[in-house]
Amino acid sequence: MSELQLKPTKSTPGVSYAVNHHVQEIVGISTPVHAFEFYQVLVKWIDFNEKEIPIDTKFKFNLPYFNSATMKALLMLLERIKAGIHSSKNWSIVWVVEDEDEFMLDAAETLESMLGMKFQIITS
Amino acid sequence: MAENALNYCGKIDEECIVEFVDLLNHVLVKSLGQRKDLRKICSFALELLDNGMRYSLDELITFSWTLDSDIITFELENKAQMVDAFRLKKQADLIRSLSIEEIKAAFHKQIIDTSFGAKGGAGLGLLQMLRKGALSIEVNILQVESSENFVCNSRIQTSITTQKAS
Repeated sequence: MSELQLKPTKSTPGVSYAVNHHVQEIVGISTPVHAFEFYQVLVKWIDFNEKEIPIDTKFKFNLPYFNSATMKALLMLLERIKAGIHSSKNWSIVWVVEDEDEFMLDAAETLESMLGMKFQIITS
Repeated sequence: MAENALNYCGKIDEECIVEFVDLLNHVLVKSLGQRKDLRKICSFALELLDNGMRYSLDELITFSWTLDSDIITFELENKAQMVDAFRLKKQADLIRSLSIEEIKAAFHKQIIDTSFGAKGGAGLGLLQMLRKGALSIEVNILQVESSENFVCNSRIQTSITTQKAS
């Protein structure tokens, strides 16, 4: 389980997580009915592989649209990443915002505020 | 008279929601031009359709948007179990009376609550729409004759004039 590769579907993002990657990436629309189950797979992958994930890993999120169930599930994933950072990892969170889009920017700011930590916001 | 409207009556699933949101985004670009807030406007439709998909008893919905000169109105109707219909109505009535600060606090409380509803909902949809500037949120429920089920009608309006791109 050193790799977690999920192809994007119409309603779920693509996931490319691997212990030999320095960037772990989620890209795409996220509107699943069962968002909790989808994102818990990623939380468990981090739990299982924490020691092998490179210390300077960036967790990159590029989610143009998502439902509010996804937002809650994302917060749980981000809390897990934050726990890794608190246990001396030098991980960081990268949040992609397309064309200064207000939806993506508001989501980043809301999640930053909930977590009490800053993301690296990159525009595309 | 509406400048632009869509009425749909039929089945709904996760993929349909994405198609509707894509279509709405194209319609908004065509009508309003490229703006930074179009996805935010589309997210109202997304949340409403997500509710319809989650709680519809028969996967059927009636959904419409009406784009006027300064307001877009979304309306959704679906059959739901009594417990879901009353919960939606109660939440809509409750949050309508909240101040902006109270909405933020309610949103914060709900998003950090790690539980999800029996149907996978986060309990955040209506709060999200209010946070993002919904002008009105109305939910009406009507009991289906000879049944314990209800028809839920949700109507959301938001302004499309306030943040026009330069």
